[in-house]
Amino acid sequence: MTTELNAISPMAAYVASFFDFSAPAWTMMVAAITIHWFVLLLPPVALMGYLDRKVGADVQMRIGPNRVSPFGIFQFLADMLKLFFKEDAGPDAQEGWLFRWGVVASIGCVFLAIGSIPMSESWVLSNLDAGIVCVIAALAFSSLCLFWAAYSAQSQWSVLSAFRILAMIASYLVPLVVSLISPILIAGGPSFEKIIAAQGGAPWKWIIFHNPGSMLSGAAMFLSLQIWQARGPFDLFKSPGEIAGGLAAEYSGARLGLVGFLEYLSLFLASAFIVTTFFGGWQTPFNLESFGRAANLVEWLVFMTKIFVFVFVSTWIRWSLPSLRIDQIVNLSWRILVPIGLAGGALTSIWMVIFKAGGAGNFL
Amino acid sequence: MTASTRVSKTLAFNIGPHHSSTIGPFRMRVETDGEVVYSCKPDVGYLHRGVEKIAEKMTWTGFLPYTDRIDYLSAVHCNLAYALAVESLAKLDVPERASYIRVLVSELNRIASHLLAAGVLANQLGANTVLMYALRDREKINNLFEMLCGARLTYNYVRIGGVAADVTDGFIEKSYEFIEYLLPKLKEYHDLLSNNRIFVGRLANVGEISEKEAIACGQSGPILRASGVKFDVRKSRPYCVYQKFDFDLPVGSGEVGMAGDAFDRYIVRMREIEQAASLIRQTLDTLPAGSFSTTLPRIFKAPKGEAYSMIESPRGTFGVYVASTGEKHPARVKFRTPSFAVLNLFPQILQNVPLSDVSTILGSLDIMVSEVDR
Repeated sequence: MTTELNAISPMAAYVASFFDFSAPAWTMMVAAITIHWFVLLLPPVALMGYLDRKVGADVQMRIGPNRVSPFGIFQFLADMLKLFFKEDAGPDAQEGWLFRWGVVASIGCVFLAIGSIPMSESWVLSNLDAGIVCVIAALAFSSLCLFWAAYSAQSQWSVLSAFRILAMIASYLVPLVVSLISPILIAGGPSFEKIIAAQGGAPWKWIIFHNPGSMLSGAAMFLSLQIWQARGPFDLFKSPGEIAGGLAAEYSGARLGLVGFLEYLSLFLASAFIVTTFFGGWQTPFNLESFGRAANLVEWLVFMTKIFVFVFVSTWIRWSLPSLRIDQIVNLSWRILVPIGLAGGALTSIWMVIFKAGGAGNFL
Repeated sequence: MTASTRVSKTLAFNIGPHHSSTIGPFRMRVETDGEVVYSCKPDVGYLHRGVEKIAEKMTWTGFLPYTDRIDYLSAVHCNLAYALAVESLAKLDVPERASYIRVLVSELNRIASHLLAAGVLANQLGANTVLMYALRDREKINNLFEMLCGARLTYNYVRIGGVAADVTDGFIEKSYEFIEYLLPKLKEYHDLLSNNRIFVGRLANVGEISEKEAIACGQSGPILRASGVKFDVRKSRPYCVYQKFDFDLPVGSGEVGMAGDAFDRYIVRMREIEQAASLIRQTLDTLPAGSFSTTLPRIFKAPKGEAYSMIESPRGTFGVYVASTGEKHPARVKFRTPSFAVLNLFPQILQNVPLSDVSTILGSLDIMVSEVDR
């Protein structure tokens, strides 16, 4: 049964391996999803919210959260609790359920994408043959859900916000797809399993350092993911100075909390996506054979460390740069990121023909 | 009316009275075609307190604290303009030391105001870190003022006939220290903003005001100078002792785009901070000894007549007209505030611009709503 379960969900098979008796597959799936969501995903995302506020406070010479619990770590719990008990109000003209559930659907899309990214050898909800395609589809769909929510709110600012979301989708999607040519070529397929197998634990075995072309692709991917997150300098549809917060201004109470949660969940997905495709994923630089099942934990920790490096960089950018105007973002993506991504893909394929698919690390 | 019949080519909405791109309660009725603003009508009065009318019920000296509230980010200048007008009406002689101190505090306040202008502009473009930096440096100026007169925002420091209190040795020392501290810190602002491609890209060629337009619409101060007109009341009609000091007038030259664009207005303010720092150092170096104020009679009555004074506030030419019937209270006080004149520009400058530039332009104009409404 374990091998069958492994084909559907390695995470469920991992959970099942702890039990001697044979349980129905669906109970294992439920257990796997619960553990994935509440143990592997939510704590790091909560930590990201804390890190964002603390790093931001440090950049701005403030103290940041320091009242709730030691060092204010559990501030997010207090915030969530407060938001949960507030009134769930919305604009009068809202198209009911689209507005109310848009942000929830968007979170669902992001969670689906995260489920297909391996956090360790067996800690992945589902190993898809076309994992990258699934993630890109989920990314685009999460933005589309926000578009529905913003457009159905029917207030002027949120309608403008909705159109900006469309401009944003047009800006990040093409460079993102184009920049993924390199890892797919190097790995020989769009599945995360293959992409991680094509890399190693040591930095010189990562796809980003495979050849100059993959480096260009990695840069293009990083920036297009930043645009997707709509955070920091790319806060196109949430810009407080221009469109008064746009979509976020219409939500209140628990749903506003979800908008904030979506931001950090997106940050997690973006970091996990680029770490997996370009920076070696969960691969560890040392041998874990003696660890047995605990090896997964070490791999997860390595993966999280890499993710938090990206979270820090993203937070740093967010707190120090002014945001771009809409035409600057579209310019950046179509005139700079798309050519860079294409050039990266082309260079990678030339490199692979010349050096018979060997990465730069092979010459060390 | 059903949704299908509700067809309009334009989207009309309010920016303000509470919106993150307006500083203070200020409302604009904006009509846009998609993201392009095609008309903009400013609607003022949300902060109207009737200061000019209040003056008619107050004594000449008792009205001074009210002038603080006209522009609370450069309270010294409002005090000074009113005091100068009353002094010229009453033909009062101000001790030389008081004039020097007035220059000193008005330049300190100019730095505070310009720092905040740069910070607020950056904040509107999403770089709220710079606002925090600006507040950090402005805090030092607030501390200096607290040493001087006990207040941190509305100082009521410049009085008719002089200033409220003498400067102390500790203050002079701290002021020198502040100048030493500030000048290297300006590099931080230039690194974060002036040399930042995103920031320059958002400001260049945005909201440009031609020389002709600026003069026609009655602009003054940094906005006028950014458009290339070398006009400053401190140079052309020196008050206090400005004629004794050596300082430059930074003028916008279209370094990154057209002359008179938002970037020029920003950079002119940043350069004025340097000039103000140099002026502070000069006044501290040459501060004469003597009295800091003349003594006014217990019940001060300005002689019959009228007077007008104008000074250079951080936002431009700040004029005060006072008329007296010889009573112990003014017959009429009228303020000519630079921010109010800026509203003349709105129909021209906020037309056919992207919505995202509205906040940039507002930030670069540095409007003080309390000064517009009075």
